[in-house]
This record gives sequence, structure tokens and C-alpha cells, in this order.
Amino acid sequence: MSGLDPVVERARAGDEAAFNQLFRVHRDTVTRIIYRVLGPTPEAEVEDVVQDVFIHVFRSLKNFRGDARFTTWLYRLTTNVARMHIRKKRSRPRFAQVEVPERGDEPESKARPDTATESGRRVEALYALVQQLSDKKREVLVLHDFEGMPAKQIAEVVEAPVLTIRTRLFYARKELYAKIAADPQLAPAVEHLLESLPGKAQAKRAKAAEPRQRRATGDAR
Amino acid sequence: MSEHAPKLRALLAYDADALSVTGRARIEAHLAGCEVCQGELATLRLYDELSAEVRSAPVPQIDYDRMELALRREARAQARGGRALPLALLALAAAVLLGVLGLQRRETPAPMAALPSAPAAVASTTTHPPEPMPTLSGTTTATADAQVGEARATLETALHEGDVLETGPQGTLHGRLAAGTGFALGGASRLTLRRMRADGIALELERGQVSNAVRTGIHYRVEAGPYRVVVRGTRFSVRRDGDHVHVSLAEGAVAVEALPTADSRAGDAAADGRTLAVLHAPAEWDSA
Repeated sequence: MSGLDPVVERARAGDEAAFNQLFRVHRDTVTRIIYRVLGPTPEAEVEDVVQDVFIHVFRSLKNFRGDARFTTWLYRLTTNVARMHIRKKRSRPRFAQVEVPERGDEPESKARPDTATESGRRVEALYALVQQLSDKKREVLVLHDFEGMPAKQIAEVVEAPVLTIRTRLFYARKELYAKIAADPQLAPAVEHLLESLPGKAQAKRAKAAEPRQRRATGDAR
Repeated sequence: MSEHAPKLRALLAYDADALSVTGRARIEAHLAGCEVCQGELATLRLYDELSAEVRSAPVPQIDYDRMELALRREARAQARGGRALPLALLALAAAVLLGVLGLQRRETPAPMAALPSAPAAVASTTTHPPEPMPTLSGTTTATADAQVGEARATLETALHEGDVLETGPQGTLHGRLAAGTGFALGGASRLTLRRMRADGIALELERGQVSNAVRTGIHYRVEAGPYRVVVRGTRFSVRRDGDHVHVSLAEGAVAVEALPTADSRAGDAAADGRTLAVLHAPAEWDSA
């Protein structure tokens, strides 16, 4: 085990300070990956998942043989925990909306501020579609497109050939494009972008001019 | 409108400006007359915009201090070569250890003896005889202008059943009571750790505000005057100003129940434990 990072090695041997050091060094990255995988999520939920990741790290570290880099192993574990969380969340019954008793006089009551921006709503809509992808496609897409991880590193994290990663990424995007185009919340934004496409403006002008020309021709007849 | 499948690979290459001049011209000529490919190009451009928004979205600020205690416990368990003991076993071990060593923490009376007496006619949780249930101990994870009992609270001050926590006007005190469970006491607040047992945690808010994060499975409640907020796995705040109590629920569900007060009439006693409202997040409840 001589090739291991000394901190990892000490943590494997049960050094509490080394455990803490691993937590402090990697917690921000783990939190970011969890957040990117889960999408817009309450802080407390993200916190729970991050804690789960490190509990798993501490429990499984003795099984880490150093065949891969520690970060690769950590990100693998992070994506596994996030996947488990998503599955658990899917199978959990949702709270029913229950009306809060009416209050006639409530000088101090504050309306819940609608803090969601337009961008936030679009991102939420995107994540709703991303969560419909299969686990394999979703993980590759999120790690590559949202987290900015290179395909080679993703291949190490998910233990698949780079070519497979690129294929999964292509089909994940393809599936997502179809979902975006059909999504009632995102379709208007697609329409808006259509207007800015090259040749679109000219084509639109030509289309608008067509009836006028036809009319003109008809008049001439 | 043509019905062919969009040339996705070519469109991606076009959008990434990875085509030759000829290839680019060919795609543009196709695009001019193909609404399917126009729609596909607009969609992939929207996706590019959205993924950029995702990448630039700020990551939530996690309170890592709160997390550290549970992880430290886990690390210790791993150092011992085993999995972390269940909470109840840990608490039991702590209680046994305290008993063996005969340690008496400060001069605070025994937790159950410190409980105020409630009207005898009312079956309140605070009037139960002492139970052989192991006690829990917590710790502060952040403090400013705060006291635990008579002592100034500092980072990692131990918290025990019966402790009275108080904050100054600008003060704050964060406490961790169990894995994934803790509270944040706001400024000008006073709170008693009424019960800290393996079978449940009860806080009594005398004034001010307490925000709570409770891990599912832990029996947790906050009493504020004549009201008791019982947790069913949630994140919520209770604010009390005199007789006025306001509950704000961010996640999960809580029930607001009636509690007897010192000036309750005999007939009112029947109201003890009566559920006034069951809140499901997001929701607010106000006693007014």
C-alpha cells in the first residue's frame, strides 16, 4: 500500500485526524457533485446525502486498495450514494398538500417569498427531465455537462470504457433534447431561440412575402 | 415540413464550429429549408444555455460543523475497527460510564428533578416518574454571546438534559443533539433542554426563536408556552413572543398540539395533547 496518499493511508489505519483531514479537503467537491446530481434540492437534504457519503467513506476505506486514485474512488462512491438517494426519493410517498388553518388577523405573518427566478424555474424544469433518464445516462450527462468532468475521468469513476461514456453521453443528450422540445415549460424558450437561427429570419421574411407575391400575382390575373 | 430524423451529430459539430467551410455551408443550406433540424438546433442551444446556468448556480452553503460531530463519532468507531454503534447503545454506554465513574456534571440538579411541576390533574410528559432511559448528550457547534447554564458557551460545550440555554440580543447558539439532529437558537432566546433521552428529545422555548433539523426516526418536540410542536421528520422554526407563537415549516410535517397552562381551568385539561393543526411543508401556523 506504499503508493497511497499518506493521509489516506493513515485514515485507513484508523487515524481520526486523517479522517477529518480527508473530510475537510474533499467536502466541497463532494457537496458540489451531490448538488449537481440531485439538482435544486433543499440544503438539509444535500447535507444529509453529503454526510452519508462520508460515513460510507469511513466505513469502506479499509476496502480501498489504491487501484484507482482516491478521488476517483470517492467520486464513484459519491455518485453511488446520490443514485441510492434518488431511488429512495422516487419510491417515497409525497406529502399531501394540507391546508393551513385560516387566520383572520396576522400582522406578523409573512407570505412565502417567491424567490425562484426565471432561470431557477428553467433549471428545475431541466432537472425534472434529467431525472427521467436512466441512471447510467444521467450520471454521465451530469458529470460531463454539469460538473465539467472529462470523459476519461468519468470512465474511471463509472468503470466503463471511454467510448462507452461518449456513446452514453450522446444518447443521453439526444433523449434529453426530445424531452426539452416536448416540455411545456421549456418549449417556449426553444421557439424563442428558433428566431435567432441563421437563415431563419430571411426564411421568415420570405414566407411572409409569399402571400403578398401570390396576392400580387392574383391581382395581376 | 420534412419528416426526416434530425442530423444530430452534424448539428452538434455545426454548433461547436467544428465543420469545414463547405460542411458548414451545406448544413446552413439544409437548415434553411428544414424545420425539424431548425427545431433540433434551437433545442440543443437551449440545453447549452441551461447547462451553463446549472454550472454557474451556487452550491448550497453546508454547515459542515454540524456534520463533523457525527463523522467524528463514525471515525472513532472505525478506529475501533467496527461500525458506529446505534445511538441508543452509545448513549447507554455513556450513561454506564458516567455511573461507574460517579461523575457529577456541575451543580445542576438531576435532570428529572429539575423539571417544573405541572398541575397534578394533567398527564403531561414532564410529570412522568424518572425512567431508566439512557440520557443523551449534545454539543454546541457554533456560538456567539450565548450561555449554557451559568457558563459562557464556547465551541463544543457539552449539552445535557436540564440545561438552560440563553442568547443575547445578537447572540446565537447551534447545538447538535444526535446524528443529523440539532437546533439553532436565535438572538434574545431562552431554551431549556427539557428531555434528552434515547427515546426522545424535548426542548422548551421560553422566548425567542429556535430552528430545528431532525433526522427521521427521532422523537423530537418543541414546547412553546401552551403549544407543543411534535416532529415527524422535518425542518421547522418556532418563534415565541409572550403568548404569541408562530411556527414556520420548511420540510416534512409537524403537528401542533395544545398543552395545559398554569392558569388552565379544569375543563381545559381535556385539551392537553389535542392536535390543533397538522402542517405539511411548506406551511406556517400562528397562534393568533
